[in-house]
Amino acid sequence: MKHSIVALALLATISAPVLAHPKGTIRLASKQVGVGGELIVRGETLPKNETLRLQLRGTLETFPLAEVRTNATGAFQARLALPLEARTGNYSLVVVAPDGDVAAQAELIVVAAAAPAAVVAEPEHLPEHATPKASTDHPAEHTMPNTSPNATDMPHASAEMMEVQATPSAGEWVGILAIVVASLGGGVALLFGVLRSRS
Amino acid sequence: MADHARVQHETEAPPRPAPTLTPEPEHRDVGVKERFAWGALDYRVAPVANRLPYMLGGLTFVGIITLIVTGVLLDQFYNPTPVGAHDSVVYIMSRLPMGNWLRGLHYWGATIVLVSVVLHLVYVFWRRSYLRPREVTWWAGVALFLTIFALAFTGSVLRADQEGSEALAHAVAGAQLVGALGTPLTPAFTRSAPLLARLHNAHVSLLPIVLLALVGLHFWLVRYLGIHAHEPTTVPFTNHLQRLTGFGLLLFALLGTLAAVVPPGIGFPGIEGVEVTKPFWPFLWIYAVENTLGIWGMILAPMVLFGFLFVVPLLDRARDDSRRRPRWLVGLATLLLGLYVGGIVYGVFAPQMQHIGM
Repeated sequence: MKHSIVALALLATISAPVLAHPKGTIRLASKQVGVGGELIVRGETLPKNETLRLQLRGTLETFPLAEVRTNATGAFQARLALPLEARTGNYSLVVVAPDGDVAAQAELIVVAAAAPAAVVAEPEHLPEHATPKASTDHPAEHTMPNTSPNATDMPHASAEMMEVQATPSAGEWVGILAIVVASLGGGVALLFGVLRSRS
Repeated sequence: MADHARVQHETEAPPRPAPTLTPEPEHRDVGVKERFAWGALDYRVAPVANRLPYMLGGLTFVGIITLIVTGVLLDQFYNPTPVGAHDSVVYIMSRLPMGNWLRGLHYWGATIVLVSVVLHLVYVFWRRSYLRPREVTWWAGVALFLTIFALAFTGSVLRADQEGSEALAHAVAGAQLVGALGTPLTPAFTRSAPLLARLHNAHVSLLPIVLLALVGLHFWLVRYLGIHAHEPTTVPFTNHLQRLTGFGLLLFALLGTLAAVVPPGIGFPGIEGVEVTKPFWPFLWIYAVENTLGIWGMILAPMVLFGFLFVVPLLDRARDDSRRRPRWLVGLATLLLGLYVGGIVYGVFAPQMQHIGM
């Protein structure tokens, strides 16, 4: 018993993720942004003097936003324009390290452009705790082109169904078929068993 | 000499005392049966219970189990927030392995349950199984029917597509009509949680708890009052259970096939303030009344149907079914069934209309 516990403890230690770099923090000026709106991001305690990728990860799609360079303290600041294709919904703003690991992430909600929450806070409106602790050598600021959504892009109510690519793969078909055939066989066997026991 | 003594000692050894414990069961199955008290299922039921029309209630329960299992799995991937709900459904359909099939099982499971529960109710009414002493069994069944309707309604809202958005708007409009009673179904109830999240909560916790409590009551009463049949109870219940499981598995195979071949779709994300869709088919009879009476139809139509069902045992108070049932009651029930089915058919072909604000 004791050996099992020691073995499990060792296994747990070995399987614990080994971080190649420190986990950082990113702070957003606003947790809600309008479709196609601007977002001000500050990163802290990230890998120092590294080029990192910023991505907007939604439930269905991932949008690359920009590449940023951290300073000697591992901080950066960026002003980003959200892509117009990023519809309203829940997203994660993710900082990806050069090795592909997620170095930091923050939750973000993209709301309809006309909503009051779509107003992006100016840098001076950032809460005090959001200012970088160490002064940046050359705080990198990156901006992406932005175009406001016009009235013709507004969605229309429709009774039609969406076209969703939901065709099962070959493996899924096999799984579905196996479950259906097993149910069918089980049902027939049970009913046949009942009939046989009657006779 | 020594050998002789040993032999004598062995032959004179006192016999072993008889074991005081109950003898070991002959087969492992018996042991399992004993430990799980399955012997309680060995009671007898009327042979007629093994006929398909008498199994409609049991098959409805099989559908309910399918709905619970698929619902628990789907809920792991559903996001009950107004901005995330629709995307999460599309995610389930397009990215989750076998997700579209799982969702299809849930949809077709709901459809089968709604059909079988109506057939069960009609058959029980036809057999006059609501007569004394089974009035409470009937009322528990009607309450189950109502709960299943509520589950179907909240489920249709959760898709957050145009149809779901309009169903939600109808719920709010209906709730506002009934005043303080309807407050929990309006956004004004609280600012801390969106209505969609609260309806999701009702769909996955509140209503299933009510449903299972009513199923328990219904089964308890059926067990102790028995089914309404004019024959001696000669068939073991386990035999009935085996047959029911067999039909249940065939039903599941049918559901699995329908889910794979005819998976349900999803509309575009809902836009508030417009009405361009029709509701999920079980609500088309209410939609038909709304086309005539406006939003009040949404309150009145269910009140008339469920009100009638609740008072049935009070309208027909015969001691047993040897006396004829009042003709007007049969006429009224036939009329309501005709309006219910006719309303659904009319709803399919009726033009789409604006109801909120009518």
